[in-house]
Amino acid sequence: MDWTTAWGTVFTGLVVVFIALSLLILLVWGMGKIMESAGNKPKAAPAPKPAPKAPVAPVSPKAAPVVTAGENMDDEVAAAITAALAVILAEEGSGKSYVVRSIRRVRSGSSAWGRAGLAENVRPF
Amino acid sequence: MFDVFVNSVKDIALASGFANVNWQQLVMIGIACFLAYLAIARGYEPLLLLPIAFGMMLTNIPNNGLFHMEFYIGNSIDYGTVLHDGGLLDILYLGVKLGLYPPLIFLGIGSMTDFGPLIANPKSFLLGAAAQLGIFIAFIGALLLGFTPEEASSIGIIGGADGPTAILVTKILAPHLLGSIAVAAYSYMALVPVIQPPIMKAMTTKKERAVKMTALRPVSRTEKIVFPILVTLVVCFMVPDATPLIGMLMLGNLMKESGVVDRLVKTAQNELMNIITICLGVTVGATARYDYFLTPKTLGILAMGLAAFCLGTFGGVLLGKLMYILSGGKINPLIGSAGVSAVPMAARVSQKVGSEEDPTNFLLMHAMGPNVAGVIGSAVAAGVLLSIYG
Repeated sequence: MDWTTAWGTVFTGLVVVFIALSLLILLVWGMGKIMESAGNKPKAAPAPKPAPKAPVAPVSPKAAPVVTAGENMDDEVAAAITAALAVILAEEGSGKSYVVRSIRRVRSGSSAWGRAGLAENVRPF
Repeated sequence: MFDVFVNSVKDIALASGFANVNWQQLVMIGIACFLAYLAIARGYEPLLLLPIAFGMMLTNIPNNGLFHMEFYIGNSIDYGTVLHDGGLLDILYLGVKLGLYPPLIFLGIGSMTDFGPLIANPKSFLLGAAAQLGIFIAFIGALLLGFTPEEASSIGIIGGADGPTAILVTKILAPHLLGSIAVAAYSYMALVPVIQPPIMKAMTTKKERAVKMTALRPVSRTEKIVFPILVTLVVCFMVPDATPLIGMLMLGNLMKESGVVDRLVKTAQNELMNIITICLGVTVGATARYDYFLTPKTLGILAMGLAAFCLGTFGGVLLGKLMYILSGGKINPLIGSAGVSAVPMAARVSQKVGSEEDPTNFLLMHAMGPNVAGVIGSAVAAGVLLSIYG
């Protein structure tokens, strides 16, 4: 058994693996930076301001809701949310009129859907 | 007429498996049934373990002429003999021998892999590299047990926790050990949830395991498209022997991320992958013939394969701890263990062990980075071993 070659193999293997993957770290990191700066450029230019928030959208079980988009939200999403609210409130049968004043996204690292997805992924254990 | 009948029955009986079977073949059929049980009842890597188990059973049934391991041992293969006298599995085995199946499996894997977490956190590459420690330590261990350097390289690569890579290296360096190494590799990959957690817990403190990592940045489509081209160019220029695996892995990924060849992606993910999986599994199982499998060497392979997995986990978590310290406690060292590959099982184990400490801690996406980096790392390690001993 040629132990010099054996230890040489171990050394070469580990060094080459680390060099190859370190090179990839640099390149991927560099690519990320380039993309980031490219992505930031349009922001520097004066962008059209988002449409002002909708004043108020009356919602009642009887009347069809009229909603305009808030920031980063298109009309269809706002309409779907308002319609869902209208259906639920109609089912509850309170008969009152409601007003949707704003629609905001709730940012949470562990939403119910997120938790369900992760539970699904790790269920085998 | 009666004489003809008696003689015919006698000939059939003498040529049957019952008259020719030996105890070693029966033991192998028993092992094959046990592996099939693990695949079916326990769900241990069933997609590959089931065909492997059945191939193992078929090859140990006497006189069926399905597979001739002797055709493939030695420096050169007489393809004329294989095609003329070979059985079904001999012909299918050509795909292993010519190195076709493992890269095609990698094509399918690439078309199903999301490298987003790795692009978002490129430091994960280091964890994927550290987890290859097991390959090289097991290589030394195998040499100490008396294996040749070529055999030791094939045994060490079990620690890469990547079936196709192990098969590709073994069919070139030590084809007579292919059955034992494939069985060890796939069995241990299935046992990752059992093997890794004790090592991960022993090496980390409660505080380290409870670290919550910050959310990964979103990765643009352009980055995902450039990534496979970048990896192919860097790795294949550095280690040309890794090209079949890395090239196909990245082609599959580029097809997926480009979004312009959906039909090809579906084929790579489904039909092609499934066909190759069947051919690969059944032929690799067929190499586990009793006279090659029931040897003391198999015990050595099983022991060193386990050591390779454990040491790979050790290496990954060790570097994870170092990164935890250097990052001021921002990196959870548990994600290091996912660097051994075994996608996505090892990443799920990181998630599982982390959530045991804090149920609101979700490490899965963070662990996917080192996990897919491990695939690249083990392919590079395989390329190094092939370039030295191939």
